[in-house]
Amino acid sequence: MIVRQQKSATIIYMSEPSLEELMVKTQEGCQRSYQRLLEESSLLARTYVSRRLSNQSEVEDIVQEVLLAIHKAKHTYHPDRPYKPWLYALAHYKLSDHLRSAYKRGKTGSLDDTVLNTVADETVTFGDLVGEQIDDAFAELNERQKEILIKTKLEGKSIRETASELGMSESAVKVAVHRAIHKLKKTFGSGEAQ
Amino acid sequence: MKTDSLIESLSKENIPVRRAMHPMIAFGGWLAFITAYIAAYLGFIELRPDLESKLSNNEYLWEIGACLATIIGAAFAASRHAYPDLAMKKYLWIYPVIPLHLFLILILMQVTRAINMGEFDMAHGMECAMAMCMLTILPVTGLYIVLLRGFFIDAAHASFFAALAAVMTAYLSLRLGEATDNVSHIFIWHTVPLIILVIVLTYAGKRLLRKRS
Repeated sequence: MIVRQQKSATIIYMSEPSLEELMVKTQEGCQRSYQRLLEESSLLARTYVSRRLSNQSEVEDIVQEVLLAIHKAKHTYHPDRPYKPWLYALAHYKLSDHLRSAYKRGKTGSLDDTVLNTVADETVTFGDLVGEQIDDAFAELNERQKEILIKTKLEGKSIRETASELGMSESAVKVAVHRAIHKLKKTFGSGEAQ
Repeated sequence: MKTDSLIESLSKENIPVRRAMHPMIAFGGWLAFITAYIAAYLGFIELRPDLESKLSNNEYLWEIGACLATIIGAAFAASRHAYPDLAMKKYLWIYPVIPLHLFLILILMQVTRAINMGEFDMAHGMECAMAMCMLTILPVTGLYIVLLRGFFIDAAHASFFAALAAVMTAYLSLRLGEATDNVSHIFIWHTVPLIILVIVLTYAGKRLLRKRS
Protein backbone atom coordinates (compact mmCIF):
# COMPACT_ATOMS: atom_id res chain seq x y z
CA MET A 1 0.00 0.00 0.00
CA ILE A 2 1.41 3.37 -1.04
CA VAL A 3 0.17 6.51 0.76
CA ARG A 4 0.82 9.94 -0.74
CA GLN A 5 -0.12 13.22 0.92
CA GLN A 6 -1.33 15.85 -1.52
CA LYS A 7 -2.51 19.41 -0.85
CA SER A 8 -6.02 18.60 0.24
CA ALA A 9 -6.39 14.90 0.22
CA THR A 10 -4.62 11.69 1.03
CA ILE A 11 -4.47 9.31 -1.92
CA ILE A 12 -4.09 5.63 -1.13
CA TYR A 13 -2.84 3.27 -3.83
CA MET A 14 -3.65 -0.36 -3.06
CA SER A 15 -1.05 -2.54 -4.75
CA GLU A 16 -2.04 -6.02 -5.89
CA PRO A 17 -0.78 -8.74 -3.57
CA SER A 18 1.89 -10.87 -5.21
CA LEU A 19 1.49 -14.61 -5.71
CA GLU A 20 4.02 -15.15 -2.92
CA GLU A 21 1.95 -13.04 -0.51
CA LEU A 22 -1.21 -14.90 -1.52
CA MET A 23 0.49 -18.22 -0.88
CA VAL A 24 1.70 -17.15 2.56
CA LYS A 25 -1.85 -16.09 3.46
CA THR A 26 -3.14 -19.38 2.04
CA GLN A 27 -0.81 -21.30 4.32
CA GLU A 28 -2.22 -19.27 7.21
CA GLY A 29 -5.72 -20.49 6.25
CA CYS A 30 -7.17 -17.51 4.34
CA GLN A 31 -9.78 -18.89 1.95
CA ARG A 32 -10.12 -15.70 -0.09
CA SER A 33 -6.41 -15.53 -0.81
CA TYR A 34 -6.44 -19.20 -1.69
CA GLN A 35 -9.24 -18.74 -4.19
CA ARG A 36 -7.40 -15.82 -5.74
CA LEU A 37 -4.17 -17.81 -5.83
CA LEU A 38 -5.85 -20.78 -7.51
CA GLU A 39 -7.46 -18.52 -10.11
CA GLU A 40 -4.12 -16.92 -10.94
CA SER A 41 -2.38 -20.28 -10.91
CA SER A 42 -4.94 -21.85 -13.23
CA LEU A 43 -4.29 -19.09 -15.77
CA LEU A 44 -0.54 -19.63 -15.59
CA ALA A 45 -0.88 -23.41 -15.71
CA ARG A 46 -3.30 -23.24 -18.65
CA THR A 47 -0.87 -21.10 -20.62
CA TYR A 48 2.01 -23.42 -19.77
CA VAL A 49 0.14 -26.61 -20.70
CA SER A 50 -1.67 -25.33 -23.80
CA ARG A 51 1.65 -24.33 -25.35
CA ARG A 52 2.61 -27.99 -25.20
CA LEU A 53 -0.71 -29.72 -25.83
CA SER A 54 -3.37 -28.74 -28.36
CA ASN A 55 -6.31 -30.84 -27.18
CA GLN A 56 -8.26 -28.35 -25.05
CA SER A 57 -10.19 -30.89 -22.97
CA GLU A 58 -6.90 -32.57 -22.00
CA VAL A 59 -5.38 -29.18 -21.21
CA GLU A 60 -8.25 -28.48 -18.84
CA ASP A 61 -7.86 -31.91 -17.20
CA ILE A 62 -4.18 -31.21 -16.57
CA VAL A 63 -4.92 -27.73 -15.21
CA GLN A 64 -7.32 -29.31 -12.71
CA GLU A 65 -4.64 -31.88 -11.79
CA VAL A 66 -2.23 -29.00 -11.19
CA LEU A 67 -4.75 -27.28 -8.91
CA LEU A 68 -5.17 -30.49 -6.92
CA ALA A 69 -1.38 -30.81 -6.70
CA ILE A 70 -1.17 -27.23 -5.38
CA HIS A 71 -3.73 -28.20 -2.75
CA LYS A 72 -1.72 -31.24 -1.68
CA ALA A 73 1.71 -29.62 -1.88
CA LYS A 74 1.05 -26.14 -0.53
CA HIS A 75 2.94 -26.89 2.67
CA THR A 76 6.17 -27.34 0.67
CA TYR A 77 6.23 -23.73 -0.51
CA HIS A 78 8.67 -21.48 1.33
CA PRO A 79 8.24 -17.70 1.22
CA ASP A 80 11.96 -17.18 0.68
CA ARG A 81 11.58 -18.65 -2.80
CA PRO A 82 9.54 -17.35 -5.79
CA TYR A 83 6.13 -18.91 -6.37
CA LYS A 84 6.17 -19.37 -10.16
CA PRO A 85 9.00 -21.94 -10.37
CA TRP A 86 7.17 -23.92 -7.69
CA LEU A 87 3.95 -23.82 -9.72
CA TYR A 88 5.64 -24.61 -13.03
CA ALA A 89 7.39 -27.58 -11.43
CA LEU A 90 3.97 -28.99 -10.54
CA ALA A 91 2.59 -28.20 -14.01
CA HIS A 92 5.60 -29.85 -15.64
CA TYR A 93 5.17 -32.91 -13.44
CA LYS A 94 1.46 -33.26 -14.22
CA LEU A 95 2.03 -32.76 -17.93
CA SER A 96 4.82 -35.37 -17.99
CA ASP A 97 2.62 -37.74 -16.05
CA HIS A 98 -0.19 -37.26 -18.54
CA LEU A 99 2.11 -37.83 -21.54
CA ARG A 100 3.67 -40.88 -19.88
CA SER A 101 0.28 -42.51 -19.37
CA ALA A 102 -0.75 -41.50 -22.89
CA TYR A 103 2.33 -43.26 -24.23
CA LYS A 104 1.49 -46.33 -22.17
CA ARG A 105 -2.04 -46.41 -23.56
CA GLY A 106 -0.69 -45.60 -27.01
CA LYS A 107 -3.09 -42.74 -27.53
CA THR A 108 -3.94 -39.21 -26.46
CA GLY A 109 -7.70 -39.42 -26.86
CA SER A 110 -9.63 -38.19 -29.85
CA LEU A 111 -7.73 -35.98 -32.24
CA ASP A 112 -9.33 -33.53 -34.59
CA ASP A 113 -8.29 -31.39 -37.56
CA THR A 114 -6.65 -28.83 -35.27
CA VAL A 115 -4.14 -31.43 -34.16
CA LEU A 116 -3.27 -32.20 -37.77
CA ASN A 117 -2.82 -28.52 -38.47
CA THR A 118 -0.81 -27.65 -35.37
CA VAL A 119 1.34 -30.72 -34.98
CA ALA A 120 4.28 -29.08 -36.75
CA ASP A 121 4.35 -26.31 -34.14
CA GLU A 122 4.30 -28.60 -31.12
CA THR A 123 7.23 -29.51 -28.92
CA VAL A 124 9.26 -32.63 -29.62
CA THR A 125 7.58 -34.83 -26.99
CA PHE A 126 4.05 -34.15 -28.12
CA GLY A 127 5.06 -34.14 -31.77
CA ASP A 128 6.34 -37.70 -31.47
CA LEU A 129 3.13 -38.81 -29.83
CA VAL A 130 0.87 -37.34 -32.49
CA GLY A 131 3.33 -38.30 -35.23
CA GLU A 132 2.93 -41.97 -34.33
CA GLN A 133 -0.84 -41.68 -34.63
CA ILE A 134 -0.64 -39.87 -37.95
CA ASP A 135 1.68 -42.57 -39.27
CA ASP A 136 -0.82 -45.22 -38.21
CA ALA A 137 -3.73 -43.36 -39.75
CA PHE A 138 -1.76 -42.74 -42.95
CA ALA A 139 -1.13 -46.45 -43.27
CA GLU A 140 -4.90 -46.91 -43.65
CA LEU A 141 -4.94 -44.90 -46.93
CA ASN A 142 -4.26 -46.43 -50.34
CA GLU A 143 -1.19 -45.40 -52.34
CA ARG A 144 -3.06 -43.03 -54.63
CA GLN A 145 -4.75 -41.24 -51.70
CA LYS A 146 -1.41 -40.87 -49.89
CA GLU A 147 0.21 -39.44 -53.03
CA ILE A 148 -2.59 -36.94 -53.57
CA LEU A 149 -2.64 -35.87 -49.91
CA ILE A 150 1.12 -35.37 -49.84
CA LYS A 151 1.07 -33.28 -53.00
CA THR A 152 -1.89 -31.10 -52.03
CA LYS A 153 -1.45 -30.77 -48.26
CA LEU A 154 2.28 -31.13 -47.64
CA GLU A 155 3.92 -29.95 -50.86
CA GLY A 156 1.33 -27.21 -51.27
CA LYS A 157 0.50 -27.93 -54.89
CA SER A 158 -2.82 -26.82 -56.33
CA ILE A 159 -5.57 -29.23 -57.35
CA ARG A 160 -4.89 -28.41 -61.01
CA GLU A 161 -1.13 -29.09 -60.73
CA THR A 162 -1.76 -32.35 -58.89
CA ALA A 163 -4.36 -33.42 -61.43
CA SER A 164 -2.05 -32.77 -64.38
CA GLU A 165 0.89 -34.51 -62.69
CA LEU A 166 -1.14 -37.60 -61.93
CA GLY A 167 -3.14 -37.59 -65.15
CA MET A 168 -6.45 -37.22 -63.34
CA SER A 169 -9.35 -34.81 -63.64
CA GLU A 170 -9.54 -31.98 -61.11
CA SER A 171 -12.82 -33.24 -59.73
CA ALA A 172 -11.33 -36.71 -59.23
CA VAL A 173 -8.47 -35.17 -57.22
CA LYS A 174 -10.93 -33.17 -55.10
CA VAL A 175 -12.97 -36.30 -54.39
CA ALA A 176 -9.82 -38.24 -53.52
CA VAL A 177 -8.64 -35.51 -51.10
CA HIS A 178 -12.06 -35.37 -49.47
CA ARG A 179 -12.22 -39.15 -49.06
CA ALA A 180 -8.66 -39.35 -47.69
CA ILE A 181 -9.34 -36.66 -45.06
CA HIS A 182 -12.63 -38.31 -44.19
CA LYS A 183 -10.82 -41.62 -43.72
CA LEU A 184 -8.15 -40.00 -41.52
CA LYS A 185 -10.82 -38.36 -39.36
CA LYS A 186 -12.64 -41.65 -39.05
CA THR A 187 -9.44 -43.45 -38.06
CA PHE A 188 -8.62 -40.89 -35.34
CA GLY A 189 -12.19 -40.74 -34.12
CA SER A 190 -12.68 -44.49 -33.81
CA GLY A 191 -9.26 -44.95 -32.21
CA GLU A 192 -8.06 -47.30 -34.98
CA ALA A 193 -4.75 -45.48 -34.91
CA GLN A 194 -3.93 -47.02 -31.54
CA MET B 1 -16.07 -30.90 -12.95
CA LYS B 2 -15.41 -27.41 -14.17
CA THR B 3 -12.22 -25.66 -13.15
CA ASP B 4 -14.10 -22.76 -11.55
CA SER B 5 -16.13 -25.03 -9.30
CA LEU B 6 -12.98 -26.99 -8.42
CA ILE B 7 -11.30 -23.74 -7.36
CA GLU B 8 -14.30 -22.82 -5.28
CA SER B 9 -14.49 -26.17 -3.51
CA LEU B 10 -10.72 -26.30 -2.90
CA SER B 11 -10.67 -22.79 -1.46
CA LYS B 12 -13.52 -23.67 0.89
CA GLU B 13 -11.47 -26.60 2.18
CA ASN B 14 -8.47 -24.41 2.98
CA ILE B 15 -7.22 -24.63 6.55
CA PRO B 16 -3.94 -23.40 8.06
CA VAL B 17 -1.08 -25.72 7.17
CA ARG B 18 2.20 -26.26 8.92
CA ARG B 19 4.96 -25.37 6.50
CA ALA B 20 7.36 -28.20 5.68
CA MET B 21 10.74 -27.73 7.30
CA HIS B 22 13.33 -25.76 5.35
CA PRO B 23 15.27 -28.02 2.95
CA MET B 24 18.58 -27.14 4.56
CA ILE B 25 17.19 -28.03 7.99
CA ALA B 26 15.94 -31.38 6.64
CA PHE B 27 19.32 -32.06 5.07
CA GLY B 28 21.26 -30.90 8.14
CA GLY B 29 19.02 -32.93 10.42
CA TRP B 30 19.65 -36.09 8.42
CA LEU B 31 23.41 -35.47 8.43
CA ALA B 32 23.39 -34.96 12.21
CA PHE B 33 21.40 -38.17 12.62
CA ILE B 34 23.82 -40.09 10.39
CA THR B 35 26.85 -38.76 12.25
CA ALA B 36 25.36 -39.93 15.54
CA TYR B 37 24.41 -43.24 13.92
CA ILE B 38 27.91 -43.96 12.60
CA ALA B 39 29.43 -42.86 15.93
CA ALA B 40 27.09 -45.20 17.83
CA TYR B 41 27.89 -48.09 15.47
CA LEU B 42 31.63 -47.53 15.77
CA GLY B 43 31.27 -47.16 19.53
CA PHE B 44 29.58 -50.54 19.55
CA ILE B 45 31.98 -52.49 17.31
CA GLU B 46 35.00 -50.19 17.89
CA LEU B 47 37.07 -48.33 15.33
CA ARG B 48 39.53 -50.39 13.32
CA PRO B 49 42.76 -50.65 15.36
CA ASP B 50 44.99 -49.62 12.44
CA LEU B 51 42.99 -46.46 11.68
CA GLU B 52 45.81 -44.14 12.65
CA SER B 53 48.21 -45.72 10.18
CA LYS B 54 45.46 -45.93 7.55
CA LEU B 55 44.92 -42.20 7.77
CA SER B 56 48.36 -41.71 6.26
CA ASN B 57 47.45 -43.99 3.33
CA ASN B 58 46.38 -41.77 0.42
CA GLU B 59 44.36 -44.45 -1.34
CA TYR B 60 42.28 -45.12 1.78
CA LEU B 61 41.81 -41.43 2.41
CA TRP B 62 40.61 -40.84 -1.16
CA GLU B 63 38.20 -43.75 -0.88
CA ILE B 64 36.74 -42.52 2.42
CA GLY B 65 36.65 -38.93 1.11
CA ALA B 66 34.82 -39.92 -2.08
CA CYS B 67 32.40 -42.03 -0.07
CA LEU B 68 31.71 -39.17 2.34
CA ALA B 69 31.25 -36.68 -0.52
CA THR B 70 28.81 -39.07 -2.21
CA ILE B 71 26.80 -39.39 1.01
CA ILE B 72 26.59 -35.63 1.44
CA GLY B 73 25.82 -34.97 -2.23
CA ALA B 74 23.19 -37.72 -2.47
CA ALA B 75 21.48 -36.70 0.78
CA PHE B 76 21.48 -33.07 -0.38
CA ALA B 77 19.90 -34.04 -3.72
CA ALA B 78 17.40 -36.42 -2.07
CA SER B 79 16.25 -33.87 0.51
CA ARG B 80 15.70 -31.28 -2.25
CA HIS B 81 13.41 -33.72 -4.05
CA ALA B 82 10.82 -33.20 -1.32
CA TYR B 83 10.20 -29.68 -2.69
CA PRO B 84 8.85 -29.40 -6.26
CA ASP B 85 10.75 -26.26 -7.27
CA LEU B 86 14.06 -27.42 -5.82
CA ALA B 87 13.77 -30.85 -7.43
CA MET B 88 13.63 -29.13 -10.82
CA LYS B 89 17.01 -27.46 -10.34
CA LYS B 90 19.42 -28.31 -13.11
CA TYR B 91 22.64 -30.13 -12.28
CA LEU B 92 21.37 -31.39 -8.91
CA TRP B 93 22.56 -34.84 -9.90
CA ILE B 94 26.15 -33.61 -10.25
CA TYR B 95 26.68 -33.36 -6.46
CA PRO B 96 26.47 -37.12 -5.82
CA VAL B 97 27.42 -38.45 -9.26
CA ILE B 98 30.90 -36.91 -9.50
CA PRO B 99 32.19 -38.28 -6.16
CA LEU B 100 30.43 -41.59 -6.89
CA HIS B 101 32.38 -41.93 -10.14
CA LEU B 102 35.60 -41.09 -8.32
CA PHE B 103 34.78 -43.73 -5.72
CA LEU B 104 34.02 -46.40 -8.36
CA ILE B 105 37.20 -45.56 -10.29
CA LEU B 106 39.27 -45.98 -7.10
CA ILE B 107 37.66 -49.35 -6.41
CA LEU B 108 38.17 -50.54 -9.99
CA MET B 109 41.82 -49.44 -9.90
CA GLN B 110 42.34 -51.51 -6.76
CA VAL B 111 40.59 -54.53 -8.28
CA THR B 112 42.58 -54.31 -11.54
CA ARG B 113 45.83 -54.09 -9.60
CA ALA B 114 44.88 -57.09 -7.45
CA ILE B 115 43.96 -59.18 -10.51
CA ASN B 116 47.24 -58.28 -12.23
CA MET B 117 49.21 -59.29 -9.14
CA GLY B 118 47.20 -62.52 -8.74
CA GLU B 119 45.89 -61.49 -5.32
CA PHE B 120 42.21 -61.65 -6.15
CA ASP B 121 40.62 -64.33 -3.97
CA MET B 122 36.90 -65.13 -4.12
CA ALA B 123 36.65 -67.07 -0.82
CA HIS B 124 35.14 -64.76 1.79
CA GLY B 125 32.28 -64.53 4.23
CA MET B 126 28.75 -63.21 3.85
CA GLU B 127 28.63 -61.22 7.11
CA CYS B 128 29.68 -57.93 5.57
CA ALA B 129 26.91 -58.03 2.94
CA MET B 130 24.39 -58.73 5.70
CA ALA B 131 25.82 -55.90 7.80
CA MET B 132 25.51 -53.57 4.79
CA CYS B 133 21.81 -54.43 4.52
CA MET B 134 21.18 -53.92 8.25
CA LEU B 135 23.13 -50.66 8.40
CA THR B 136 21.19 -49.26 5.45
CA ILE B 137 17.76 -49.54 7.07
CA LEU B 138 17.82 -46.54 9.42
CA PRO B 139 19.50 -44.03 7.08
CA VAL B 140 17.14 -44.85 4.22
CA THR B 141 14.14 -44.63 6.54
CA GLY B 142 15.29 -41.20 7.68
CA LEU B 143 15.49 -39.93 4.11
CA TYR B 144 12.13 -41.40 3.18
CA ILE B 145 10.58 -39.60 6.15
CA VAL B 146 11.97 -36.33 4.76
CA LEU B 147 10.64 -37.16 1.29
CA LEU B 148 7.21 -38.28 2.44
CA ARG B 149 6.73 -35.11 4.45
CA GLY B 150 7.19 -33.09 1.29
CA PHE B 151 5.75 -33.49 -2.18
CA PHE B 152 7.95 -35.21 -4.70
CA ILE B 153 7.58 -34.85 -8.45
CA ASP B 154 10.43 -37.13 -9.49
CA ALA B 155 10.09 -40.40 -7.60
CA ALA B 156 12.80 -42.21 -9.57
CA HIS B 157 15.58 -39.72 -8.87
CA ALA B 158 14.42 -39.11 -5.29
CA SER B 159 14.58 -42.82 -4.48
CA PHE B 160 17.93 -43.25 -6.24
CA PHE B 161 19.56 -40.44 -4.27
CA ALA B 162 18.04 -41.64 -0.99
CA ALA B 163 19.21 -45.21 -1.64
CA LEU B 164 22.70 -44.06 -2.63
CA ALA B 165 23.15 -41.89 0.47
CA ALA B 166 21.91 -44.64 2.80
CA VAL B 167 23.93 -47.50 1.28
CA MET B 168 27.09 -45.40 1.14
CA THR B 169 26.59 -44.62 4.84
CA ALA B 170 26.58 -48.36 5.54
CA TYR B 171 29.70 -48.81 3.40
CA LEU B 172 31.51 -46.00 5.21
CA SER B 173 30.59 -47.41 8.63
CA LEU B 174 32.02 -50.80 7.70
CA ARG B 175 35.20 -49.36 6.21
CA LEU B 176 35.83 -47.38 9.40
CA GLY B 177 35.14 -50.35 11.64
CA GLU B 178 36.43 -53.41 9.85
CA ALA B 179 40.20 -53.94 9.89
CA THR B 180 40.54 -55.46 6.45
CA ASP B 181 41.83 -54.05 3.19
CA ASN B 182 41.76 -57.20 1.16
CA VAL B 183 40.67 -55.96 -2.26
CA SER B 184 38.69 -59.04 -3.21
CA HIS B 185 36.81 -58.89 0.10
CA ILE B 186 36.07 -55.19 -0.28
CA PHE B 187 34.91 -55.68 -3.84
CA ILE B 188 32.80 -58.82 -3.46
CA TRP B 189 31.28 -58.26 -0.01
CA HIS B 190 31.14 -54.46 0.13
CA THR B 191 31.05 -52.94 -3.37
CA VAL B 192 28.90 -55.51 -5.15
CA PRO B 193 26.25 -55.55 -2.36
CA LEU B 194 26.40 -51.74 -2.45
CA ILE B 195 25.48 -51.71 -6.15
CA ILE B 196 22.76 -54.35 -5.74
CA LEU B 197 21.26 -52.59 -2.71
CA VAL B 198 21.16 -49.25 -4.53
CA ILE B 199 19.36 -50.84 -7.49
CA VAL B 200 16.85 -52.73 -5.31
CA LEU B 201 16.14 -49.78 -3.02
CA THR B 202 15.79 -47.39 -5.95
CA TYR B 203 13.23 -49.65 -7.58
CA ALA B 204 11.32 -50.33 -4.34
CA GLY B 205 11.48 -46.66 -3.33
CA LYS B 206 10.22 -45.49 -6.70
CA ARG B 207 7.17 -47.73 -6.40
CA LEU B 208 6.53 -46.60 -2.83
CA LEU B 209 6.86 -42.92 -3.66
CA ARG B 210 4.71 -43.20 -6.79
CA LYS B 211 1.97 -44.80 -4.70
CA ARG B 212 2.08 -41.90 -2.28
CA SER B 213 2.20 -39.14 -4.91
